[in-house]
Amino acid sequence: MPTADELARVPPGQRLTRGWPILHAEGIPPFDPDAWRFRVTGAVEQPTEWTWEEFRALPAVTVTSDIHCVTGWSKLDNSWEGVSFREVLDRAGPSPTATHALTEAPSAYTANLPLEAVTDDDVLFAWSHDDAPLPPEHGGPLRLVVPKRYFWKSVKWAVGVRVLERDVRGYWEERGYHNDADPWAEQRYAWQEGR
Amino acid sequence: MLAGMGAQPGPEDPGAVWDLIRRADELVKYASNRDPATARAQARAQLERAAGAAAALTDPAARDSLTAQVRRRLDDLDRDDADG
Repeated sequence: MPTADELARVPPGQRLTRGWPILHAEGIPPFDPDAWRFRVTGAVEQPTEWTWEEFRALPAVTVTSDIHCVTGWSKLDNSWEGVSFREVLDRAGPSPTATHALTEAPSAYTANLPLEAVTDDDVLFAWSHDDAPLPPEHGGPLRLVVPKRYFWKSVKWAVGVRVLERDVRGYWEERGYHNDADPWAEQRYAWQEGR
Repeated sequence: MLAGMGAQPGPEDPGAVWDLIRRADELVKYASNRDPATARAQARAQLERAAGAAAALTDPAARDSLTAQVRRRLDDLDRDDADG
């Protein structure tokens, strides 16, 4: 039975799960640590690229946070280890006119967020979940984790960030899902925008 | 933003069409838990129902936006089927 404290952390319209359902729109890409690159491009002072070894050598952080999936399940107390989004962004130096970030997977999958959202303390690119390497089916080797938004914003198999001077909708946002995706406001679908 | 959504439910309810689309999305998203080709076929059938329901909407803005959403997903499925 969930405790009262746990239930208080479940947004409206969500149910708790102890497991971790697997879902994604596209297939799992292969991972070759020698060929893998992470790139920050767009409205930055210094377009930046890391190899897997270089990325893993960046200063690591550990964050414990909850997952809220737009399909209706929530999973509490996930321990993530990785590099904070802010660290990645600071190394490339966003231009003064930069406003948004589009995180990219090797496929066409992307998700957009304002810079003030991705530079929150709990947002990171994670390679570990609950002290184990992040499995490929959950986005390993590296996924974005944005706890305050529905989980589709937490791009699996992240390989780059495009820094933008305007907002550009990502994969699901273009397909009728909410641009902001705040689970506590139940911002699930685009038709709710502007309400 | 999807035009015409959030209107009162009824026989020509854009929300009901969106619900068909959303269920097709979930079939695709959870496909890795079972046979992806079967899941895509089920999603395609769901989207074809959604296309028919969208075409029957009298509100042109809702009809056009939901038809475009169905079309985009059918294109996604065509691409995924071509990729195997």
